[in-house]
Amino acid sequence: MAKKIIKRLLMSLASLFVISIISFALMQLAPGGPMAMYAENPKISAADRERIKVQLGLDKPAHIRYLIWVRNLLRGDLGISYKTGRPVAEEIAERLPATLKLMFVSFLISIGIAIPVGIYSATHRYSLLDYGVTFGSFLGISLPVFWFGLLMIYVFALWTGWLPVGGYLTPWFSPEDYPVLIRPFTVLWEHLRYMILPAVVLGLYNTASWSRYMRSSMLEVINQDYIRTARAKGLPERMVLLKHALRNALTPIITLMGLELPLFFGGAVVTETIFAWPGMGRLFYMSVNARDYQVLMGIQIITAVLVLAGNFLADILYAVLDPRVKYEG
Amino acid sequence: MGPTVKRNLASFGLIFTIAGLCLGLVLAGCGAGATKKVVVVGMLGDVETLNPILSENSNETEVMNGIFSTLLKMNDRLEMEPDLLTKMPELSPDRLTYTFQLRQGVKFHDGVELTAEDVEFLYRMKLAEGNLVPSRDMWEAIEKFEIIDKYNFRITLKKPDVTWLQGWCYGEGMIPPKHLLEKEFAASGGALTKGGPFSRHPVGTGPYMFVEWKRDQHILLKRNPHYFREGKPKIEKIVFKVIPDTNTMLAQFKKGEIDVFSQAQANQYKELLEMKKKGHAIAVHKFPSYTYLHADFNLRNPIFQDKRVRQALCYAFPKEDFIRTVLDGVATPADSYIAPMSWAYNPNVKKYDYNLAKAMQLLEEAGWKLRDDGVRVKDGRELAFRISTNTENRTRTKFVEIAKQAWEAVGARVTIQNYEGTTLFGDILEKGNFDIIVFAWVSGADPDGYTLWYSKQDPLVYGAGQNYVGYKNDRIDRLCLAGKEEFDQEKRLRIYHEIQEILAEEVPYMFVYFYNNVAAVKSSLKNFKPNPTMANNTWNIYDWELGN
Repeated sequence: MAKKIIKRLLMSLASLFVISIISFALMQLAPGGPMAMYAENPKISAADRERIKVQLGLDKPAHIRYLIWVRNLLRGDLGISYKTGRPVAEEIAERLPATLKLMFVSFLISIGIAIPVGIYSATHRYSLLDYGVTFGSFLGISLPVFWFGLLMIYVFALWTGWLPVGGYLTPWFSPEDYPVLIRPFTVLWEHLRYMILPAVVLGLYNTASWSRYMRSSMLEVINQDYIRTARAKGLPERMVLLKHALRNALTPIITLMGLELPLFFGGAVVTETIFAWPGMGRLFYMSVNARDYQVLMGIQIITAVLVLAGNFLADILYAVLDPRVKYEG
Repeated sequence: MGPTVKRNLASFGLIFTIAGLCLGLVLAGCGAGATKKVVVVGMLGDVETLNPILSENSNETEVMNGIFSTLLKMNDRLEMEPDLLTKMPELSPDRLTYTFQLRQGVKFHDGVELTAEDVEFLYRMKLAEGNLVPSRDMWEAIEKFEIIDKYNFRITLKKPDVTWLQGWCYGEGMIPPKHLLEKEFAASGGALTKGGPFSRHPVGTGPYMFVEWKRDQHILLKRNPHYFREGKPKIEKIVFKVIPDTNTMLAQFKKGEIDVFSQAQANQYKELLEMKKKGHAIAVHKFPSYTYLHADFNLRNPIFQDKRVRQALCYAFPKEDFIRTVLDGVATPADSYIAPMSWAYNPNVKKYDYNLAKAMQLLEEAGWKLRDDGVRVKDGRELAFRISTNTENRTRTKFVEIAKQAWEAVGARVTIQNYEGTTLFGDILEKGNFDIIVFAWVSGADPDGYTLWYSKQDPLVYGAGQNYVGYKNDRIDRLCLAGKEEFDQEKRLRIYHEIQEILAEEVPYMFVYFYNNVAAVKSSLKNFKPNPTMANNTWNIYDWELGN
């Protein structure tokens, strides 16, 4: 087992290296560059642009810049953003909490709905509700997020006025303005009310596909011999489903979630933009637009680490959940 | 403890939490109403820095207008007036030396007095080797900076330049404190960056003091009780809220989450008027800006070297219809690079109203004969060319499509070749690799167009300038130079009128329209006076007040 893990770790390192080269090369091949944002500004002359290029180190050839980047990375330094002049690590650290918060809540919503719905659809196949769920899932997958998001804003923020349109926290909110007794609740609500709409939009979007996975995975398991055996033993149906079927049906879902882990980090570009949520998705999108190679490489490399870690984790969970899977050295 | 008790406890906890939440909700609602001595300004993107030495974008100016002061202000009537100065600067007879006198007793937010030293320091910082200053033009024009005493200083230019002074009205002329930045400059080894501490915790002499900047969320400012204008400002807090999506921004304005919607889109104008009609207490402003859309003919392409072809294409494009249908009328037709509200605007230049017959006739005269398939040819060459713009701008891509149709109707063969903005501006434009390119320039309160029309501003030949089309006209060259050095307003007027006449006749660009800015504010906000210059809509933020 230990040997296997070490081997996998080494392979992961090699992949990381290759990924970083490919990402860097692709960015260089993409048209435009970090200097393009100055081109349409009539106040900035060509001489100014030349000077800025040198100041940012963009006059050096690509392979040299890559080597500098690797050297810094080995020292644990992700470099400085071309656009904002701040350390990339700091740029990421400032956005990460918002994204993790949003992703975590929307994840809970997805799981909370997708798993029971999937189980129900599988066990009540071709029932009215199953058709309803199937229809709903396809609707959920097909609806563009920005449209659905704006619809939710219209209904829950403008029409009913229950929730804010967008933002993260009220800038002048201070808990001291409220009586001590209810202060914690006010703080909780202050955080929740901004999060509800984006988390629900994002959560429902994932629910749509995950409930389909859950349904088919469950269907497959239900028809297995051991389920028949369990039923033959005279176990109550509830036990059969929750104890024997569910555990096996969850295995592929867990793998899937392991693969989705990096998305947690990456955030959600559209949802974050519509709801003015200050997360990673927006950072990434803005950096792409500004060709801020430094930030992009930083996000890329962390995402790559997370993908590899996610796969690794999924493998191990797999072994825990499914006794047939064993790692042999 | 039995399971029932446990369950009961759990439900009690749940009920308690929900009840608390509801109470919190109600009170939070009240609280939000009670603390409303705040004005929230919507902003489409976050700023990168709040250090005026390094700033270049208009969002930054919008925020920094609150924090900093300038020597001069460009007001909404497009006139300069003193801000940190006691009076307008005096100009020497040789038109090279300006003498400035600062107000006395103006304090930075940390209590230190602003003096001529601070202004001189700004000048040095703009030119310091390591500082990532976006534009140095205004500062390189300076020959000598002399401090006379604490409040008086003199600046001598290398050559007379009538446009120079207005730089002191905008973001790049905002005065930061020497005593704070000096230390940062030394500590950074002589290289100020946008990531530096002052960029994030600016200290100025403006009407509002910096409180906090939450990245991609908001910037919070509070009233400066020691502001130099008596009795101002009146508002407790100003929030600049980052809302990256224009639809959401409109929704937030409707809901009252923002009070100032100063970056509304042209296509939202109708909806804002609708809102007002339905009884929302808002004021909607629409006014021409200095930004104009133009389609540039690459004059290195032999097809476009004949001015009759350029004129024909101008006649063949239905400008007014485009503005009416695509832009809901929220634009002003352009026939010059100088905006209609400018003192130098010439209303009597040649205009190219939609006229197909005239277009056809001009092309015939130029020797482009119609072939059976409807395409014009001359000396075996087709009247074929590319048109390019940046894909992410939908108005421009529509423009390109309509231009293609319009020009093919008079016998051209047009290929649309659009690029992403970074490619278009970073690559295609720079290398002159286009036939017709469509984008926008921002002109200024001053009519100077030297970098666009002067022949030695062709970056492909001379490595600098913005004459990307390679335009060359001796008369224009002379006028451009003369216009920059002439201080007599009457004479300048004549110079720029002539420049506009020549350009309208020669059309190196097809001038399409001046963008109109749309801004909406709650009626309770008084003294909001939109400003089309680089001074921005917050130029007089010190004057803003909350009424009923």
